[in-house]
Amino acid sequence: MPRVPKPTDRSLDPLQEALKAPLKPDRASAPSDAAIQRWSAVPLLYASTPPRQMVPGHVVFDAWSEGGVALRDATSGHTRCLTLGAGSLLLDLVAWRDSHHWQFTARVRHEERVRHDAVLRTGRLRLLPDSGGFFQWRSRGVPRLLELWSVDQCIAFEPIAWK
Amino acid sequence: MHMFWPGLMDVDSRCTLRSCSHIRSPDRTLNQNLIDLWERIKDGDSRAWSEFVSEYAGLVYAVARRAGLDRPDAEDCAQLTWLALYRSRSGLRDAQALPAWLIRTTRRNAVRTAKSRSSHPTLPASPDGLPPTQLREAELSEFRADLPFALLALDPRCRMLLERLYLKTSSYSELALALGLQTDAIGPLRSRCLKRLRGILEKMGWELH
Repeated sequence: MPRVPKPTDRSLDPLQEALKAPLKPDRASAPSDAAIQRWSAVPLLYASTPPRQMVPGHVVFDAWSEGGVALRDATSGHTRCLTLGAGSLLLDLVAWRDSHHWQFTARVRHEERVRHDAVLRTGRLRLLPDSGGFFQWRSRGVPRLLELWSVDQCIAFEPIAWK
Repeated sequence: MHMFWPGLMDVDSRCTLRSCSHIRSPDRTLNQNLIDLWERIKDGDSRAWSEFVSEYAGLVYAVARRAGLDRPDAEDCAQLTWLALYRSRSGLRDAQALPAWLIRTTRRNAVRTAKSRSSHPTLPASPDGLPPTQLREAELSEFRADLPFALLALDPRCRMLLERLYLKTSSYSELALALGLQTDAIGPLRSRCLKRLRGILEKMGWELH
């Protein structure tokens, strides 16, 4: 453990000495704004009613649409890259399959910046992004319906076909 | 970004030392802010939750960093604490005990996070290899950075006393007036508050001699 110099009772107590320093948070030792946004979004994980504004989302890019069904399975396992969009907001989703499960990683971008203030919902699963802004999960099934909830809106993406 | 002295600001903006005698017990007002905020959170007010997170995010993060986690791990560890707090909100009745709860829970989460990352759970990142004087400076700088967060975990009365005593260099008589106490009660109170602050810093991982 770090050692702070031994305080003498009256003048050199580091507590008192340090208290005379300006009490403003040091940016380097404070959490990032993105982290505070994520933590502020925690109630959305447990909310039962969606935000008022409903916005439809669509598939913008699908790696599987570029090759035949046979090719999908032959290259790099069952990997699929998707981008879903609603206006200028984009949800990148990468899915790959190991022996028994699917693994998923997703990230939300808005005007080329990663967004941290939304919760991803698929079925009964509700996810908050990690420190890198990634939603990560693993499941036996594939997500057909994805929703992104933020304080002011719910983006419901069109159903994804997995065959 | 963070609101460090929301209660204090309330008191300061409403009165000067000459005219604040109408406030019988400032610490009651200060405590009430936290109690009201917590009640709103329990009622499902997500704006109140955001306010609370903004206020205590630094404390939770500082505890995680002090437990030896790097920045991304500390943020993920802090996230576990916020999730746990939200889930437990209905069972946590004493709003004034929340800062201590946050510290305790974050320390536990930090140990778990560190174990899952196969790193050392109780060794804070230290700038090894630096000459002793620089090492001491680095430690002091870290210590100062953690102090605002530790003060935030103090009860409002102690927070106000230490802030006024050491930052605004108020006199004992001015403090006595502001706190509604006798002047000779300030010295013992100051000692108790410093002891409490010391205890919080120790819980945050600082070893004070």
